[in-house]
Amino acid sequence: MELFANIAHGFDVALSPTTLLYCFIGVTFGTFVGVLPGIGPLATIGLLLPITFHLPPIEAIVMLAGIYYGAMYGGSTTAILLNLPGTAASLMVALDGHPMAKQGRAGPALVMTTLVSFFAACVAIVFIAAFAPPLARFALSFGSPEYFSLMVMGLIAAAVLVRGSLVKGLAMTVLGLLLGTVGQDLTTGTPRYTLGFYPLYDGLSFVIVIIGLFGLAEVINNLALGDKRQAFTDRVPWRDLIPSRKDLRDSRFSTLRGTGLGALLGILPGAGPAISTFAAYALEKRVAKDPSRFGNGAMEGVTAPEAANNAAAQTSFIPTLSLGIPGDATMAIMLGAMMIHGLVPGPQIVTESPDFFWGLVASFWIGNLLLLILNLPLVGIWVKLLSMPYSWMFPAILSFIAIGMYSLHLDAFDVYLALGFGLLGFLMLKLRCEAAPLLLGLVLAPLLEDNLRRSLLLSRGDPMIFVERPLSLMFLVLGVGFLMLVVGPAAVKWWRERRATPARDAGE
Amino acid sequence: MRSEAGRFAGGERMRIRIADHAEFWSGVMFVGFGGAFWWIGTDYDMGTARSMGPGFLPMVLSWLLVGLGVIVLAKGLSLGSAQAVSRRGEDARREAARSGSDPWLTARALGAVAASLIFFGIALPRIGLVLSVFGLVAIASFADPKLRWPSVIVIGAVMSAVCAGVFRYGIGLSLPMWP
Repeated sequence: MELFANIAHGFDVALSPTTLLYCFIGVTFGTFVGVLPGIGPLATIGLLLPITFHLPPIEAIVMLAGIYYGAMYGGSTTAILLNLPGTAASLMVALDGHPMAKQGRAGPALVMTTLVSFFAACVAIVFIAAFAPPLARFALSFGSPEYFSLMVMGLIAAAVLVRGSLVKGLAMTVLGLLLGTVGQDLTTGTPRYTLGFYPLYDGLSFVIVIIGLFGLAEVINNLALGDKRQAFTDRVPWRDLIPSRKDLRDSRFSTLRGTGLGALLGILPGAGPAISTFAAYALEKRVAKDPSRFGNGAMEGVTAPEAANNAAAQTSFIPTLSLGIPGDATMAIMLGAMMIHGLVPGPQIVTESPDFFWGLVASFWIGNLLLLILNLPLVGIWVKLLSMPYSWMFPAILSFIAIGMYSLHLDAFDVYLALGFGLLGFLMLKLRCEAAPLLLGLVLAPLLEDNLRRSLLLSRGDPMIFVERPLSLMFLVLGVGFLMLVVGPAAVKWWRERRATPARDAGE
Repeated sequence: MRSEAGRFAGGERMRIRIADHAEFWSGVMFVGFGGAFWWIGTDYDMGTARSMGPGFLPMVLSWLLVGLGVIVLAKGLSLGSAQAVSRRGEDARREAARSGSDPWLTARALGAVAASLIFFGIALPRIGLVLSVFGLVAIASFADPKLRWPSVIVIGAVMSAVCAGVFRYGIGLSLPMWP
């Protein structure tokens, strides 16, 4: 029963009073910030990241797990109450969650998302315990070409999933990769794109880019919107907070299906959580007796994606930790944070740092449990917090960003760099370019370059090596498949429109 | 802009105009970044495919980015019948109006946020955390027309105290507190 021994070991690590305390603080802060409108889970984690810098690695990661869950949950709360989804995942939850809120049933929706998240996390943790070690062993057999192709696939998947145009998503990914080459070259030590700034020799700090692109850009955007900023004033009465027996009955099977789908798809590197919520929602709509209820406040439409999201969030730790390829942008931040603490993900992490690996897995479960305990009584209060005026919030956010950035290296340069990325992020927001793929590119660039170099060294400069090795070929084919999923239907639509347009113009 | 766009599409007969400004300027941005990375990157050794130099990947990626940028840019242009052009333009305008913001407020937000952070970066090593945070809050408050001086002073004081408490005494950062 190695499986349970591993989980038990994890709980041993994660259940010390100090880690528990940090996890609790993380969950509280995460929810508190994540629930604020205009601050999605990405920005939340970005904003709270500096708090964990000065903790020992395990405590820091456990606290991050707490922040992660808190932020995700807070994000779902704003998605449901305000229809302001911060991630692709909460987009699906908002589809039916917000109509429920409009019908005065925000309470049941919020409570059910908490319960369902917890259930999904419980299932997924067993799944990880069972599959992470074999998968990590499998990953150990990867050579450089396989890694390279896997990363290419992950990057394509991330670019495909963004809202809006595919080409823009790809361009943002490439821009991220380019930004990732800033700093000294790994093999020759040549400084690249440092423009003479010494702090850039170590490369662009991940945190600075996140805080700039997400946190600061968000603040500037909210300020620029002025009165158009969405404010929330409605109250959710206490007695309406509890889900009815029918709600529970409705969501039994949808939760199970969502969990299963999420746990499986979460293993896909590069895209797990987002794909799984889309898939779960689509599946529910497919199997429902009356699909027309979806979009109008169907409980299954909330529980299935939420379950899938949480199960996938858990299992996406398998690719994040054992392959070093994050499942989505939020995971990319977690990965960056782990690297800051000197924990280098890779197949060996499961065997070489079992304390860390299993401790993390357990802390995710604990984070979810704390979330449940904390949020069930607080649902009403989170709702009230949404009416806090932004005028009071943004000076606080800005101060935290400024101090957090300065404290990275005790250097004002980092503050200015974050400001630069903030301005760039605001520009991208205005140009409707999603910054998430850029982030993934930034994280993966050094790994990608290293594996590309090694592969080509291995093949003596012949790029066919990526196609000749079966596993590598498989990843590339999958990547192209993702592209086709988007390009295919769009091309058909474009072709039809092109044929239809002259006719319509003549008719008008 | 019109002439540049015309040159790109390579024809004078068709009507070409920017139908979707966000798309067009994103393309310009990507081409700009690609070009800049390419230009600076020409200094780095390309190496060969067999042994990649530091310039290899940046070069390939810059070209890729310029290429993708051109596609995005082209997608932002409309060519064809005047009706099709105006239809796309209409969609883009509606989208802009929905998510749009007041230029004056935007300028204020950008200016105030930038100024407050630059002030903070310069001030912190010189006058310490407490006053720097207060100054940051005061400068940033220009971004919000609804904030009046009494609230600004209260927020500034509260934030100075909170930041000092959390970062200096809570986390134990060695930041200077006072001038």
